[in-house]
Amino acid sequence: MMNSSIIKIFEKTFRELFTYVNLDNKFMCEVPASSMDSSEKLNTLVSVSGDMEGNIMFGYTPEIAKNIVEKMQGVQNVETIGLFEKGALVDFFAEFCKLFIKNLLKESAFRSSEDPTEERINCLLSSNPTYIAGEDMYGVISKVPSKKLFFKVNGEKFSIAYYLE
Amino acid sequence: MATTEKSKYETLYELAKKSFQEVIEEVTGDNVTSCDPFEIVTEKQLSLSIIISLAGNTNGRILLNTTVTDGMNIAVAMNFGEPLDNNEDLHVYLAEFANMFCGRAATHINNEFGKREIWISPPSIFSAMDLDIITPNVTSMKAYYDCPLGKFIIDMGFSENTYDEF
Repeated sequence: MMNSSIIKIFEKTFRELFTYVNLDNKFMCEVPASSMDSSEKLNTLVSVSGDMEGNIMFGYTPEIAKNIVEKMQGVQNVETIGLFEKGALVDFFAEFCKLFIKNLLKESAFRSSEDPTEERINCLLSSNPTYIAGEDMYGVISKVPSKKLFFKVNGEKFSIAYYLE
Repeated sequence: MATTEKSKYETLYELAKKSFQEVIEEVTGDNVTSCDPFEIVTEKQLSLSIIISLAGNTNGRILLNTTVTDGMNIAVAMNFGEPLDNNEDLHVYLAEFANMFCGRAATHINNEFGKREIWISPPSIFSAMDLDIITPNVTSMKAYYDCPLGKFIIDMGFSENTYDEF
């Protein structure tokens, strides 16, 4: 599937989910490809296998993490990111990936029905999300250049780095 | 049911351990076995973790924890003992090592179960001063290796397929 279609699906999924939890959101831009991904302070990694395989890494600030946890747990003024908060974040991004895969399969089915040369994606599996954090973190999610998308959530930087083939 | 699941995870754990030992032997020529638990001291040095996610009938992830120094030892061993041309090559060699390890593990596991029990994803590599990696909702089992290349902890976490509904 073409990269422009994947970006649209990410954008659609992002808008749907963040609007659903009532967090202000906006797609900013796609960053030129880079072989190495400088990671954000907090990250969640989800892998995809099946007819497409690769990794998706969500990078966000502690402020966004607290906003998401507040929505997921129905509480206010979350101060620290402890074990339960990490679990809530992981569940949130698991939902993101389910929705992303659903949208991607739908798009693939539509495109292959319109254009018989387009290969249809039938099977996609997502893994358990993993929460990753650390000071001066450096991360690589693929051997070849991965793509990175920038968004804003409540005015803070949110990124999605992905490598899908 | 719980016993069946436990023995299934133990089988997966043993096969993953066997794969690591085989690949280390191929890379270094050394025969390694797991040892008593230890902690990797990361004070004043960068921790390094390689994550390979598993999906399919069993979900989860395999985490290889070490330090950048010991990770470099693997990379140098894979480069036939020659120093690396540049530091970025460290990630390339470690990704290839992880591919060998997890590809072998997937082969052993799928052969054992006689079907495609798991799919593996491309490896991801992270380094940081105080690396915090958590995968909730998995049953975790660890194997410890203290070998000539350094100290390595393989942390295998498995769960039933709950995140994938497609």
